[in-house]
Formats: sequence, C-alpha cells, structure tokens
Amino acid sequence: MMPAPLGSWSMSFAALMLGTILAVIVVVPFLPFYDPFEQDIMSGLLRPGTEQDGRFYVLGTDFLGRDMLSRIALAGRVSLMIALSAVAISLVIGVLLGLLAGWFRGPVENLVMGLADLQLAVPRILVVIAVTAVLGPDLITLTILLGLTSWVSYGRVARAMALSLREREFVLSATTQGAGTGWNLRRHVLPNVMPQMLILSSYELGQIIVIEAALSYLGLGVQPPVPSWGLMISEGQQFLEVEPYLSLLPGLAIFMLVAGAQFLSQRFTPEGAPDADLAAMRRRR
Amino acid sequence: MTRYLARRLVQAALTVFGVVTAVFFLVELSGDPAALLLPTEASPEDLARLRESLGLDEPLLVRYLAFLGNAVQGDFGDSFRQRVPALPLVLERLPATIELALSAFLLGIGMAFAASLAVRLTRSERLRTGLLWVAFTFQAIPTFFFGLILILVFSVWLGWLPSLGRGGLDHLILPAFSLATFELALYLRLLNSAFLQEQSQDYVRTAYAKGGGRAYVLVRHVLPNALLPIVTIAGINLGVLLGGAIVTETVFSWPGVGRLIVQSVSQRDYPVILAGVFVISLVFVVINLLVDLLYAVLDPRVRYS
Repeated sequence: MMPAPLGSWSMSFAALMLGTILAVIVVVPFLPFYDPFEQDIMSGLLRPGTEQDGRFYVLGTDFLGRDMLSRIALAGRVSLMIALSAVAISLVIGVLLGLLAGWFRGPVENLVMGLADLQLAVPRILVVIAVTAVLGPDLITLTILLGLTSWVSYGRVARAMALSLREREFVLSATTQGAGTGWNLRRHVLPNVMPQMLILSSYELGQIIVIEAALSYLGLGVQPPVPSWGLMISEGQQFLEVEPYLSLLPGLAIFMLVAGAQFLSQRFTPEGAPDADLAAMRRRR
Repeated sequence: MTRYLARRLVQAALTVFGVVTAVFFLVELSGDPAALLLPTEASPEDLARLRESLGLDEPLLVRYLAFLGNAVQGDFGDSFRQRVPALPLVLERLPATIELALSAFLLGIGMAFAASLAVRLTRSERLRTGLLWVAFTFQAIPTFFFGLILILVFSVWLGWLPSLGRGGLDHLILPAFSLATFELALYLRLLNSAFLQEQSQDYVRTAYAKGGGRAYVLVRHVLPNALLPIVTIAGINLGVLLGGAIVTETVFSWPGVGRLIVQSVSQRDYPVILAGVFVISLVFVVINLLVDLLYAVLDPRVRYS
C-alpha cells in the first residue's frame, strides 16, 4: 500500500469528517426529536443552538420551522441512496463492457470505445438535464440516469487492464488447461480488476453526490417535500443575507461526505490517480 | 493526416447528429407541449388549432424528417414562449457563456501552472503538500456552493463585488473564479504528477549534466513534455466547463446558454432546449477535434492512423 501523499494525519482527518457525517445520517433518525417534515411557522428561522418551547434546536430551523438537523440527516440518506445505486449500476455496466472490449478486441472493442466517445462528447449534466426536462424529475429516473451516464471511467480502465491481463502467464496457463472465456474473465481477470474499480468508485461516489446536489439545486433533481442538500442550499439562498446558515450547513454536509470519501480513496491510490486514465487515453491513439 | 482529419470530421458530425436525434425523440416522449401552453380551461378546438399552428399534428416520422431538414438550415423552430426563432435566441446568449468559460479556464490553468512551477523550482515539500490539500478541498466543494460562499463573503459581507448579472469586469470576477476552482484542483493534481513523471526521465539528467540550471531545464525540457497530457485533459475539460457553467450561470444569474436551457426546461420550451443542447454539443465536439489536432503539433511521435 502506498503512503498517503497528503501526509499521514490526512487519513485520520478524512475518517473523522466521514465518520461525523455518517453518524449524523445514521443516528439522528433514531433520536426522539427527529422530524424532518413538521412545519411550525412560529418557530421558523431559528438560529442553530436556540431553545424554544422547551425544545433545543441544535442546527436551528428553516423558513417553515422544520428542524434543520433532521432534514440534513434525511437528505443525506436520500443522497447516499441515489449515489450508491448509481455507482452500482455504472460499475456493473462499465466493468462488463470494459472487460469484453479488452478481452475480445476487434469489433466489440470498437463498439464499446465508440460508445464511450459518444458519451464523452456531451457533458454528463447536460444529458441528465435534457432527459429530466422530458421525463420529469423523479428519484428513480434520476438514479438510473446517473448510473447510465457514469460508466465510461470504469469501462476505460477495465479495458486497459484486461488488455494486459489477457497476455499474462496465469491466464495463458489456464487457457492451455482448457479454461474458456467465461472462466478466465470470472476467475482471473475480474479479481485483478476489481480493486482498481472500487478505488475508482469511491471517487465517482463523491462526483455523483455533487452532480445530484447541483441538479437538485437547479430544481431538476429531488423534489420537495423530500429534502436534499442541493435543494436546501437553494431554499436557503433567498435568506443568504440574514441567515446564511440555512445554505452553509447543507453545503458543509456535502463537503464532509465528498471530501471524506475522496481523501480515503486517495489513500489507496498511487500518486497522481488520474494517470491510469491518461495512460489509457495515450494507448488509445 | 488528411484521412485522419476526414475521419474525425465525420465522427464529429455523427456525434452531433446523434445527440440532436436523441433529444428530439426524448422531447417526443414527453407528451403534448400544446396542453402546457394553454390555460387548463381552454377548449379542445383551441388546443387543436394551437397544435396545428405549431405543426404538432403531423406523424412522428414526418416531423422528425422536417425537423432534420430545418435543423440543417439552422432552424430549430420558434420558441414556444417568446415566439421568435430558437437558435438566434441561444446564439445571442453564447458570447456570455464563452466569456465565462474561457476566463474560468485561463484563470484555473494559469493559477495551476504558476503554483506547480513554484513547487518545482523551490522543491518545497511543504508547499507541494499544501497545494494538494487546496486541490482536494476544492474538488470536494460543489462549484455552485463555492459560488454561494463567494457571494456571501465578497458581496454580502464585504460589499466589494456585485453578485448578479453580467456587466463590466467586476461582474465577471466572482463567477469566473468560482468556476475556475474546479479546474484549478484538477490541473494542480495533473501537473504535479506529470512533472514528477518527467523529472525522473533520462533527458532531464542529460540536460543537467550539460550544465542547465533548474529553471532552464524545467521550462525548456520538462514543461513541453508535461504539457502533453494536460492538453488532452484541458480540451475535454473545456467542454465539461461549459456543462459546469450551466450551474454557475444560475447561481450568479449570468445570462448565458446554460441558464437559458435551465429556464427553458422549467417552461418546457422544447425548441430552445433542442437548440441549446445542439449549440453546446457542437462547441464541445469542435473543441475536442481541435485538441486532437493540437496533440499532433505538440507531440510529433503521435501518428494518426
């Protein structure tokens, strides 16, 4: 394992951030005051740490008097659920297409790489916006869309690795003993590709959370009354001058989750992670 | 070279065609835009008249072919809302988007180069680690949220810069800087590893052996080689920047193509969405094409086949 390029204490810091936000997401829904939906105009826009009517609001309330801590926790669940499912979808598609392309070469490879190029020819967010415009914003559609549009980085790296793995001795040796394509891909290539794919997916997880937040901010992602960090930032923006915490708190939550995940992924990646993709690009020519 | 160019041009045209076709059929899936335009109490006759005037009563294939024929001539139909041709509506917003994306691009890559060169020249491990920290931090902050923080600090609290709209240079600073930080993070990481990689090559040792100073070797020998992967990523990224501009434009009420698309989505103004997606993907494809060609100029080893 490589030493952490950002210094050894970066690991503990990342773990601390990630641990804190995950604890909020997991634990808060079990606390007695948890209620992300109940509105109470009389106690709207309470600052963090205010006590009113015998109730203590750790992170204050939003303009409808809903408890911010509860909403941040639920929004985190929604975000994580969307991002984890999207990552799972794109991981499966990317690994499958990448391995097939790298193993079979020829027309299969051309087709897969052509698809990847087409995908890269349009910004991901533009595709999602265009489809959402038509199908309407919906949690499941959003998740599937994010999954379908995020496979390219897995596909490229998986293909590049399969290209070199298929020439290795242990694969040749298996082939001479009568192993077929399915056996080789499953037993020899896939286990060697998976660690890289998982590192990549922890990075992608952060990216997808950010994209989902951006879409929800634009009003094209998660729809009210379901809370989402992006939506909370946009709801709070109108109060930016008087009560900036409304936007800052959900933003901080995104940062803790995304930064935590990405610092940790960096911990397991050799210096200059994007090099894998760069190398794949150079080889493509 | 000519064959390669021809093949890439065909590829680029196919991509744009594919994108526009996909968007057209998506729009078709979405139901009847005429119903959205009229108030709910409108009579069926009114609805039929509007559908006819918008050409929505023809069969799908007829409409698709007509659409393609018109699109080739730059006609994407009239905006449902504003009743003027959609493409000019998009094109008049394009300079604002290009202004924003290009200044963010130059700002980001400029800051990254200055910082990385400083690290290489001073060989300070502390500076390098510090910059990587900055890079990682910025990569984890959504650009729209960072934009909001910039507005909060520089417009609301300090009152130094305007937070909305397009105007003089003072209007450009906040949105460009907010968009540039995304770039900055990526380039810092890339340049850092590219420099590290090139630094250990034989030609660098040779250059030192011949008596080259640190700055001379860095600028004359290492930089051109480190530039190569950066150009590819930068090209792809200029396109991503156009996409990112969609969100940044909304945060800062910047009157660009991205904001127009987002507004048209909420109004279901399909001709404008189509024209907007067409324009952005066209710009994207052209940039990628130019980058590929630039690659050959920078690296004579690249052979186009």
